[in-house]
Amino acid sequence: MSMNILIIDDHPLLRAGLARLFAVEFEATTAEAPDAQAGLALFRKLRPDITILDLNLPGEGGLSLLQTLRGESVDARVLVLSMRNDVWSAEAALRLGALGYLSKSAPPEMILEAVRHARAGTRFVEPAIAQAMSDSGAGEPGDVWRGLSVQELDLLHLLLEGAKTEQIAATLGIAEKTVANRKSMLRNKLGASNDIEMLQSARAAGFVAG
Amino acid sequence: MTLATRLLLLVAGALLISLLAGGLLIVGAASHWVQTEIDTASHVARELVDERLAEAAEEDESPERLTELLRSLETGYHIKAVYYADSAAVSVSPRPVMEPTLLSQLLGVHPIVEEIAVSLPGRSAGRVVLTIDPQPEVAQVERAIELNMLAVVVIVTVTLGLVAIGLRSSLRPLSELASALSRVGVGDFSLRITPHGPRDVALLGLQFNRMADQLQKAQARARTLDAQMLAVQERERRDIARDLHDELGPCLLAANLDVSALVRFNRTENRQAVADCAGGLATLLAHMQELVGQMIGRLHLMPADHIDFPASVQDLVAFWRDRCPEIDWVVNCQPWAVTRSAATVTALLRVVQEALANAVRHSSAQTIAISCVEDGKDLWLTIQDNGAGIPENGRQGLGLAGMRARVEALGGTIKINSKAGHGTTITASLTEGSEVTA
Repeated sequence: MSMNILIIDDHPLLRAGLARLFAVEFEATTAEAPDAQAGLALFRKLRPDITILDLNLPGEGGLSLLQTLRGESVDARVLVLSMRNDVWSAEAALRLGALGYLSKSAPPEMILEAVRHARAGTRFVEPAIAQAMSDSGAGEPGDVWRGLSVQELDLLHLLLEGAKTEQIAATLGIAEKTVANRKSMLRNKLGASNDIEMLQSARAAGFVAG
Repeated sequence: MTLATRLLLLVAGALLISLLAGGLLIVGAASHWVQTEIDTASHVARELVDERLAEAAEEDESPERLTELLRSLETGYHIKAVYYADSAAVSVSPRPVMEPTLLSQLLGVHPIVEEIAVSLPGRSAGRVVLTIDPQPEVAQVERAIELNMLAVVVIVTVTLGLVAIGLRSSLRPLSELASALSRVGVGDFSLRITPHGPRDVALLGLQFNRMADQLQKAQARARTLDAQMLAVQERERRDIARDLHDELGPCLLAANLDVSALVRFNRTENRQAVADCAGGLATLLAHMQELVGQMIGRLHLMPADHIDFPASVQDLVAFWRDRCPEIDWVVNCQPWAVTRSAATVTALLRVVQEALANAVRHSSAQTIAISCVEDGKDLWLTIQDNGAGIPENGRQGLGLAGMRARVEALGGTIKINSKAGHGTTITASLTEGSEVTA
């Protein structure tokens, strides 16, 4: 039985590579979307068997799209493929219902393996990230980073990339004042007295830009 | 030795020298006066005695008359007259000759002794000895000198006292200035002094304040510039990291995917698919090469003297055109006729880089124009956009200040014209003689 795979990623060459590999390996039919809006539209139209989702998308971030997709359909099988390889992004994605999590440094065979797992409805997390998650205790109660919402994680990642308030506002489509408010709430939540301290502790905890 | 002590010693020295000179003049004049006095006295006494002796010879007077004369002569307070009959001395003087004093030795005056031979008829021969003593005059001089000395001591004391007081109050601002300068010496430019005291000293205070102002401003400028340079470097680092992360990372994964697909297509012997896949891989590799090239260009790892300015500007524009195809890019930059130093090329490229980044990121411009006009050694570089302009609050001040610093370091000037809603025009001018030879 042929598989329908939707690839949501802003990188055209990567989408093309994934599509070719899925076609030859699974004889899958693929559809591609460069951003969250187009991705949601295609998802509604095609109801794909598997959705490959990047977290760094222009416009609405990948994590909130994941939330939306799972809200549209509880059966949505979403495999996150992101440059982010920190345990908290993975933890957040799995908490929001992703069936798998892979970083973009994973080898192609592992991506195919994850797709096979997703097709079978079983969870697959890149072993290095899974190991890091169990080592760090991410997702355990009491982990301050676990308490972060999807918006807060997206904001934190944008801040780690060095984005300025106006850029964040433009990316997330919200007012600069809202960005400033969310930022101060995030600081309070993480018990940091300023942005630099917050970003330093985020880096120390294993968050990376992207 | 402090300035005040030195000045006081100088004044005291001058007073001492004039005192010595005055003393010498006084001694000279006094010596002359005393000598004249006793010479006159001696002359008068001798004439009186001679006259009396002549009268006595004519009138056969008794010697008593002579004795009487001699006694009357001695009423003058500095004459001693003695008549010696034969060898026996008959003293008629009630007072002895005064002892010479130190002052009389200094004046060089000595008693005058005159001997007058007496030979009266019918009497044995004798002699009259007249001694004219200068001591009473010397005593007068001494009293005058004492009074003068007293006056001089008073004048010297008062003069030195006034000079000391005047110096102390005049030099107080200088010691304040010295302590302020020592603060400047350790890098504290915040101190200002209240200029006071004499006009020229107060002027020093004013000039100190001006100097401290300038130093403080220069220090602030240097600090701002350091911070700006760091911010610019940090932003460039972040941009490069983002390119590596957002562009190169996915490309590497895509290449890896293509290799896996290629292996699988090869098994199926679907030649068209193999060709497609290999073509995709080649496109990816070319894209990655271009990316790496652009990143190296942005890091300026190329030796600066090999940078072709117009070509580099085209590269920068190509970089942004890829990312912002909706912007209308106008480039007018002909190859240069004159070879310019590496420092100049690098600085101008940084200006273009910064101006383009600002225009793209902050101005929402529809058109961005870059032109580079050469006239002999002179060069004008203009980057113009029709975007939002630089906001008054100066949030973009960092990059602009960096540009200014680079161009001014070459001795050139930079003009930034910007009005909210009417775009921004940045013009860097390097004109004759302005370029630093590097």
